[in-house]
Amino acid sequence: MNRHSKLLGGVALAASVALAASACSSSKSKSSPSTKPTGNVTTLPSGANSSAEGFNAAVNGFVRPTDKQGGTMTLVNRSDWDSPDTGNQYDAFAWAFDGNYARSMMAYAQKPGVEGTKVVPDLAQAAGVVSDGGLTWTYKIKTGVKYSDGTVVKAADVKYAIERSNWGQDVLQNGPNYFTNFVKDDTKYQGPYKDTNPADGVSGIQTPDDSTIVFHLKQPFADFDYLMAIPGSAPVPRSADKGADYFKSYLATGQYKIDSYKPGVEMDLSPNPSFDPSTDPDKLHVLRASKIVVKVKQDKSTIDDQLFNGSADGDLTGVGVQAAGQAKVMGDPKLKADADSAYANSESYFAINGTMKPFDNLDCRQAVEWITDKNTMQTQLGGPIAGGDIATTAQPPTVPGWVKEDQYATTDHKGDATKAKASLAKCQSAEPDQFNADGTLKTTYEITIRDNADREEKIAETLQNNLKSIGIQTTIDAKPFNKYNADFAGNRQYSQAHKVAISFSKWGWDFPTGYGYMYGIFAGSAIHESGNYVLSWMDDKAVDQGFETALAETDKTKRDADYAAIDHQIMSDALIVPIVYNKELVYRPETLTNVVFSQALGMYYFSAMGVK
Amino acid sequence: MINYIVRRLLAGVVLLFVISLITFFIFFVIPRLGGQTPESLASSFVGKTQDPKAIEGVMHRFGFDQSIWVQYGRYIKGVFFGYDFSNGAEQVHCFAPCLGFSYKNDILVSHSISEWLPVTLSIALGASVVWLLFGVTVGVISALRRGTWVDRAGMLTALMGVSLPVYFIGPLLMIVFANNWHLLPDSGYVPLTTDPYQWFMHLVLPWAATAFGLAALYARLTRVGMLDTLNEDFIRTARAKGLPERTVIFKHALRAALTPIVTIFGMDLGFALGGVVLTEYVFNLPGIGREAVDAVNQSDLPVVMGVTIVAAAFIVLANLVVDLLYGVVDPRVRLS
Repeated sequence: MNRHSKLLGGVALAASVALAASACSSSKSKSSPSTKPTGNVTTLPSGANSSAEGFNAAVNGFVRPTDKQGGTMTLVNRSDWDSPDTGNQYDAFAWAFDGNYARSMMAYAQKPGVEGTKVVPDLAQAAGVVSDGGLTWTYKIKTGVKYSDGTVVKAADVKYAIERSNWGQDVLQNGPNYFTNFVKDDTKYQGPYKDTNPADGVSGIQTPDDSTIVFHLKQPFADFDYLMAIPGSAPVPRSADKGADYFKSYLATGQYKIDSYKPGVEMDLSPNPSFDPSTDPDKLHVLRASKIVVKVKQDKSTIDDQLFNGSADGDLTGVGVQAAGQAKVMGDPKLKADADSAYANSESYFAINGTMKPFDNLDCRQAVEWITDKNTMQTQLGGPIAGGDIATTAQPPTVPGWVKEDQYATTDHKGDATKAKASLAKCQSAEPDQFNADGTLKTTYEITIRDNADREEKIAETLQNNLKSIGIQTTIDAKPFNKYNADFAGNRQYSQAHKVAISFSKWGWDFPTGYGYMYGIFAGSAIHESGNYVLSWMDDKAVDQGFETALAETDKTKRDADYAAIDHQIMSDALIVPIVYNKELVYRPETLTNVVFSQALGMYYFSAMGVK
Repeated sequence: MINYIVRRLLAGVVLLFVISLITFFIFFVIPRLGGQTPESLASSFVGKTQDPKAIEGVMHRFGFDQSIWVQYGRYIKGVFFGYDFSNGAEQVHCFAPCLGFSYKNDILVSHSISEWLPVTLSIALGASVVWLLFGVTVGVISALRRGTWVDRAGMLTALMGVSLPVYFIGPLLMIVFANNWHLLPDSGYVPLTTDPYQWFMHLVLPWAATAFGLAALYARLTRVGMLDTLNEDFIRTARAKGLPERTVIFKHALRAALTPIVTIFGMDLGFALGGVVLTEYVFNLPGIGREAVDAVNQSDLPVVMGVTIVAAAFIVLANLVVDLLYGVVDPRVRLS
């Protein structure tokens, strides 16, 4: 069994053992005052009825599980919402928090481990019923679900919500628009803001009655249930929509409603009086706090202190504690017992620009693969606890169906100069004009990184030294984080003008499938002239063909194997140099209840959480 | 006097117009000269999807697809007359003085500034009282006790104050008074209207951090001014006439020494009202300065424009008030 399989196996085994042990010996759980259940626990979604405790407890189980309502939960966040409107947002923390005030059709299971990557019905009565050879998906919505103003949710509201967030991007520009890729539309619908006729809409979405919604697809898409877990499927009544201003008067369907939201300052939520727990048999929306206060744009240097001194109950940022805080947590057994080191469902990597000579030659790209010292980079990124495990594949190991593989294995992942030089020599034979007589490259290339993390600069320097050792000269240029893809690494004009051969990137999935992780960063059709995330810039036909095959496959096991094959192809083509599967050291103050780390969301399941 | 004020106000309006033009040029024109296109600017406001329809929508809705001068004309028109814009679902009117709407938050800039302004006003006005009171008092005492240990202690403290920036003294105060002794909250803002006591408690540390350096400066200035004035002939005359020492010091010497203090106070207060950036960052206070820096980082140009104009207006206004105060402080000055 390889290292990562062992790790996953270990996590699963630990979860099973923890659950079994805690079920068998509840007295042990109750012996610790900080970890005993804080209320009457009946049937939590996970089926867990006892408390997990200690380091990594929330990765493997529920910490202080309860259905009891506590006091005010204060969360802090480094950044602010792109928009609290579920149809106009893409922030990871927002998707992990939305369940508090919105009910999407499907939702991620509130379970630890790989079970948490599965989707379960939320507003929908059940998962989609597939017919017509995978081209038709039918959902029934639960009856009796109401908005915070007391009006009843109808299937037409779900249709409208999906239309506005996917076809209305002329106004709601922040969120994803997957539905436009897959749902049939014979009318060339322009979205509700350009086409204001209420009778118009996407022809491939039909609502034959108030509780049924039917999607007709252009091509089979077996991951469709995952699209319904994107917050954009949370209902919005057409009559209440105010376009870009809707977030100011958002109609909640979750257990809380938004009382006030001041951009850059704070969001306050209180219990939604129209929420009916009987419409939530799976207990995805339990009131576990009497009020939620989210303070945004908090200074990152003070967030950890706020968690340690009790002035905040949780960090919504979801990126873990700072370097100083990491040492403090790992050095103090009491603090460590309230922390988790978990996969962030993302990966850090260097993309190699496959359109930049001579890196359009596979051997030149493979020379970069062989020479990279990932061992040093792992340490520079924070080590195995707070940085992550060394990566060798295009997808992180938390994607279901992931297969461990290392096509460029070197001793201790420290790189192999001999193999790198051999690859570079082969490249020189094919591209002699690009090389000096001594085998070094004539041109100095740019390594582009983001300017918001010192650690990225350190690993870029390591790569720079690695490349220099085989005759590839580079400069490092740190660019503004918020314009990185629009104006620099993801801008073709900039990349060509500045000879950007290698770009750092850190990517997390939109949903936990091979498509959800890989399509946006490897598919040829996802390349844009600016704002591009396919930083290899390569229109790799083999990869695109792989996606076509996978999307048509209805058997999940076979589909996962197809995604693993795409991963293999990406690494064979040396489009990226994977560095680490990111992990975060996250801290959960003792005041929090019902804490579980969602493998799907890559952070705590904030809508499941409460306080004492 | 009225003529003078009207003249100064009109000059201030012209100055603000010039400032708006320069700001607009820096943030809208220079990026284009550097190769930024309307599409690339729009794409930085679009999510990961980078849907061409979204980019086109942003370009149109924010006006990037229009010429620079049309954009500037629309902006200025909004300041004086207001203008209508679409949120997609309906036309929304932004009343004059309309400073546009934030590209990032879809919120009227004037609304945002009205929320940030009380924070900055609270910090600036409170801190200004502290630095003026402490600075002038220490300066006067040092001048009167020249050469004694009191003078030396006062000036040593002043030297420390000038040398220690807010980003050092702020966290230090937080560690001692908030984290260790738990006497005061470490960060955040509570509106005066919500809870006056908490408003005060949350601002004690920001006031102290902001005022420390400036109080030190004022102490040194006051001391020098007082020493110079105390050697003037009219002070000797006043004493020769048998006036009480208190009257000589406070009515004659201090009043004359205050003229340069009033000048610099006007400037400092104007700057502070435009945003005490470091204090706002250190103490997590959502004031004008912090938001302006964030807006620059996010290319949220209407916010940058709005904050710059408001900050400039404060400085213009503060200078006008200072000029008017000259006449009150120093009888030799007459405004015309």
